[in-house]
Amino acid sequence: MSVIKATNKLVTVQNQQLAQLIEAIGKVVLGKEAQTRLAIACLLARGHLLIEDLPGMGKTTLAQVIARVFGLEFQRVQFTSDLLPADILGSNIFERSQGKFVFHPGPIYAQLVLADEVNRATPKTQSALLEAMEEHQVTIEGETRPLPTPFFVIATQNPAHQIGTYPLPESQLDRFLLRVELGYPQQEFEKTLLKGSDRRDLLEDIEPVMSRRELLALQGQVKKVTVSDTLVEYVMDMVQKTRDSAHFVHGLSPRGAIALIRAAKAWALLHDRSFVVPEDVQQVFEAVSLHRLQSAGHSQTSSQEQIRSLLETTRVPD
Amino acid sequence: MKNYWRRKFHLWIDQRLVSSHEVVLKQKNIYILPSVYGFLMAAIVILVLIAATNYQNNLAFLTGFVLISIGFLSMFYTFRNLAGLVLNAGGCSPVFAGETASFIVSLSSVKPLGHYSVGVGTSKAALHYFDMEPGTEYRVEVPQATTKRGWLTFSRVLCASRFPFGTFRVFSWQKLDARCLVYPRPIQPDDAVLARVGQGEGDSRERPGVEDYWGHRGYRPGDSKRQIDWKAYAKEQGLHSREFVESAGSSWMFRLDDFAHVDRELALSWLCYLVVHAERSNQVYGLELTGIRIDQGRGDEHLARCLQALALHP
Amino acid sequence: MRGYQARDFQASPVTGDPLLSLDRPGVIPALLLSQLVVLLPLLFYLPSWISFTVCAVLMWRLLAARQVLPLPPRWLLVLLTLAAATAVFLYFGTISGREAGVSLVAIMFSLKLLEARHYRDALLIISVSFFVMVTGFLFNQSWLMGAYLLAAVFVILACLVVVNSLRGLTGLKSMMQMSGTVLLLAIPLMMVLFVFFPRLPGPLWRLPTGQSAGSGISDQIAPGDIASLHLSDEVAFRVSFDDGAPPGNGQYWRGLVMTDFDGLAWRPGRDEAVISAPPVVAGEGLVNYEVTLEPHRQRWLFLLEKPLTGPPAARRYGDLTWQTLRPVREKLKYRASSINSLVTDPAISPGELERNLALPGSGNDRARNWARDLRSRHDNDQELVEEILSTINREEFYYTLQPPVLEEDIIDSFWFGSRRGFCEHYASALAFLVRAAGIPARLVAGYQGGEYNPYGDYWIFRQSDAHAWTEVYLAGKGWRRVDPTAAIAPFRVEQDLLTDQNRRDHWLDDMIGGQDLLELPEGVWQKLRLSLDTIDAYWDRWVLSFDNETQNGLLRALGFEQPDLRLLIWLMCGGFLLVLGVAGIGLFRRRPEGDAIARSYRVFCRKLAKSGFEKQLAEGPADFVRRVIAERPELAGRIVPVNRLYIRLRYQTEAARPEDIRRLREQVRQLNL
Repeated sequence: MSVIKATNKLVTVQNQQLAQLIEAIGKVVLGKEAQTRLAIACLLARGHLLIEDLPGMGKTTLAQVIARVFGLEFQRVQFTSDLLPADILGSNIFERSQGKFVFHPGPIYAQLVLADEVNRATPKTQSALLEAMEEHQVTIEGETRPLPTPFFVIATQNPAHQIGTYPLPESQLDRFLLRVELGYPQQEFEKTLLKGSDRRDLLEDIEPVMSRRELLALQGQVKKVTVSDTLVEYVMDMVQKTRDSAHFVHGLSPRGAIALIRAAKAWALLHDRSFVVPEDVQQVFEAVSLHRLQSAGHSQTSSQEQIRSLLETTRVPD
Repeated sequence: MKNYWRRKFHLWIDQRLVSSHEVVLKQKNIYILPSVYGFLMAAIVILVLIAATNYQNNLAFLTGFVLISIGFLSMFYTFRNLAGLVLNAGGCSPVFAGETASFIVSLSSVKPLGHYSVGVGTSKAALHYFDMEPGTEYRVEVPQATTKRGWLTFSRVLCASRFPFGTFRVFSWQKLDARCLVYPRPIQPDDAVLARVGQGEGDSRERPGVEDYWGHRGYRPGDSKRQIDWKAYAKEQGLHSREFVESAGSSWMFRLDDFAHVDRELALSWLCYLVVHAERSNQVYGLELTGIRIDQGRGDEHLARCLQALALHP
Repeated sequence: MRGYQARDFQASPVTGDPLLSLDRPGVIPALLLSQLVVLLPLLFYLPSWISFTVCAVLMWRLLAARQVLPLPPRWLLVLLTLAAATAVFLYFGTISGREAGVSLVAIMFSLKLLEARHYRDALLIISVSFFVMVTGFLFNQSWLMGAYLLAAVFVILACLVVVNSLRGLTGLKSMMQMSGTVLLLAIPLMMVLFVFFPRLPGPLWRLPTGQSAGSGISDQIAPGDIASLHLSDEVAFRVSFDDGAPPGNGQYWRGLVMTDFDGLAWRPGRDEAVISAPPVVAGEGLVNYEVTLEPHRQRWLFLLEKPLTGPPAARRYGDLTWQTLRPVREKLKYRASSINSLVTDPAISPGELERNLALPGSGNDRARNWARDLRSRHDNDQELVEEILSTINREEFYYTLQPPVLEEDIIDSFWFGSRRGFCEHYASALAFLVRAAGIPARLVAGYQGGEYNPYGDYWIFRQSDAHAWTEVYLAGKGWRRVDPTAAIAPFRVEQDLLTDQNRRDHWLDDMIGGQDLLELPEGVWQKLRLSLDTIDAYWDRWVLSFDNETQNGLLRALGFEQPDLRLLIWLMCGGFLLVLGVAGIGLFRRRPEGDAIARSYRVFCRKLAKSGFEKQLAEGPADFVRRVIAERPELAGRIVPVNRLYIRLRYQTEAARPEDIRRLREQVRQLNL
């Protein structure tokens, strides 16, 4: 078709490759295909992922398996209330042997950082992490050190009502491109989970499916994905709906709208397409907007239901 | 006779109209009548048809018929030009009695079509005409004469148009929910009266004034614009007010009771004049009416407070 | 004290009623234009000094609008008006006739703009302009004039929009769009009114008619007078045959018969007896036809040779011609029939015999002698006539449209002198010679030939088809047509005539035995002419001659047995309101949104909806088609490519190419579920 030739010079994720990724992850994380796809899209879009759920739902496992399939260097930081910024970022320590201060990098110097239970740390520590995520570099005592590429943070968070937590403020939540919930596994998968071998053993068997170089190339392609005027109109309609809705304190900010398009682009690329269609936007909309929209708290329905009804009432342009 | 029917129509309209902040013109509230020109055209058409019949001239018939058809269609077109127009009552700045109050009406459209040569006003003779392109808004000041102080409610507002062919006149009477505060008419009292006006009470401490420069302080809303240190503002140092002090002698306390001997309205007009005059000459003044006391002060807000009290005094 | 800022307003509103002023841009030019548009057709029919005056007045107003000239003061206007009225009266001697009245209207109308200062003046000018337009139809009712009417209404409406616009002429396009759509919507309404508006059978009162004389065949033939014959393309009448034209190219259409010859001119006989019953015995080859006769301001009608029946409203004469009671001033449509093998009573009354043998007392002696000599050689009448024809063929007789003027004894000078002429010369010479030989003869004027219009399936007879021929009475056989012009040797027909588009006599075709030697190449010009004539014919049939009777006929065809006034009014109002309602729905309907791609996609969705798949509001195009295929997998082959193309056009490319958009439309159109 002549139409495609004009623009299609993009390297997209071939269907086969995606299937391999999903399959590899699916061996370890059972029955969470949708979340897996979103996590990969998030990685492609160079965003960071927030996983929100109760402990023991397999958040850590998901992070680990993603690190493995992409062959990424993995670090895990358990956030606690006494964790200090330096514990994450690293610090200059006087080396007596050399007679000078030597920088000891913290766990953030990894390609994939799992910030476990990020809401248990104090706001100060949280913001140190989030700043590093945003700026992709760390500045300690006037010296700026870049973080590795790719750099992908998966933060996990327990729902806010648990005791002894510091819920992330709205402005910080915005730094995460997507937010997913894992939820309880379906019955059949749970059975397998209980019967089968330890997840950690399985993890050892996973071979990388995609090289780091391939991943970086794909990340570079995301911004080349075409977004037509019609699609922008659709996104704007949808964003406007969140602003008009009485259910939310504020609607999506312009930054939120940009995030929506970025996530949709990654989703399109992930599905072997060089342009975004409304379906892409619909698929990522909940993950993009749920943590950005604060419920006004007077409505009977949950924010999730609100977002879904909003999706159902936004007309797809002809 | 014509006036009789017009009055009847307005009475009926008044009963029908419910005042609201926003109205959309639609079938229910738009009236359409042939214009004088419409009748003229009808006469011409009849003439043409008679001539056509008499000369057995089918082209003349066709002319007559095309004119009749256009006449009927023009009804739609004229109606469409007004339908979908949205009238919104805007604010109205307070005025002194005798001045003309200007009610702001903002107009927009619920349709993607423009509205052309539409007039808005309080009567047929005082229409403000405008063109409104599709997707734009328009604001019109509708003047209304004021006679006495107090709240002036926005009278009926007329929307009318003859566009595009002039054969029909569409119009709509609406009542918009808006009111305007009318201050008493300021009347200068004569000197004998001025002598009665009470000076500030025996308060000897220095009070803000205009005579002597005292110092700077941060701008507070309500400070007179004359107090603002514009030089500092120009240097981007922020808004500061210069403070002045004046001796207690030039501060005023105006009391309605001082003019108990004259007509209430006249007294209020005098007070109005005094208040405005005091503000203009940068003096400190207060106002005491029956049951209301406004402490001495100065600035636009203070003046507005005083004038409102005067306007709404029972 | 006023809290708002001036920048809150887009533009300061115009106070008062600015619409009442004519100073808005473009208003005066618009009024001038609407005047010019309606006066233009009149200028061709009015005396030139009136046209000149009208143009001068309009020019004055234009210059005044450009502030080159001042507007005239009121006293001057009054003076001008009176002067114009007087001039018209002096010129025409009346102010009530058609030309005089229209002249006066035209001048007054143009002067009106000079004093127009007010909105109401403008509206008066515009409404009167429609009336002035109608006066033009008193002179010309052709279809071109009908087309001009629509164009004029379009222009005047656009001018009316300008007059009613706050800022005068702002966008030419939008004003033209406005007037164009109104006009388009008005046309069907107009047609409803035209068909059902109750018509009266006759005029309300009689009006004085115009003085101009009709052209074409006149009531006398004087061959000597004519120095040159100008062929006119004007249509004389049109004929449509019920069952096709009779075979042969030489249709002779009889108009009137001339028996009286005074030496110079032939004239119809004085007192023809009216025959009420046709003297027909029997016959074969009946031809029925309908003639649409252009007004010729004479009473005679044209019927195909050997006529059997004519229109009932006309009188039939013994020489087989028909005449109406009053001159034909409007287009006349009549039915008639002719019969090829008409057998008439061969008997001839003594009076008729005498009249058809009569010759002037003296003159043309050589011709008389020549005829007498011929008589002595031929006993048989038919042989005698044939001898004359062969003389024409043998000797140096020429056919020309520029014959020399003949004086004194015109037959002698033609027959023995110039020997150049056209049908009238030959026909009258033959008749004279035959009569001189003692055989009754007469002249017939009519039309011959005609042109077939294949687009409209009818024949056109133009003024250039006018013809004259001779009829000779043969004892025992009755009257026989003899066309001497046909006897001229082909090579003696002037060459320019052979190449002339406007061939006068189609007898040439007959003479050379149907050979197409003279057939003109089928040119574009001719086709165009025929197409235009078709329009003309349809215009005549459906517009100009639409009257009370046509209306009743149409109603009967629609199944209304007893069409009366009440029915007409019901039909008119009902039809009008119905069409008006449709127009209104169209006007108030929401416009379809979106571009060509969206429109094509909507058609696609509608087609799927018919198969039971309604696209959900928030459903993406790929999801939608996936849902359809899940239920009806067999559709995949047809709908997936279309959908894929749509998605690519909509979402992949920034600017879709026109050919791709066309392809999408085509694919959607061809989609058959």
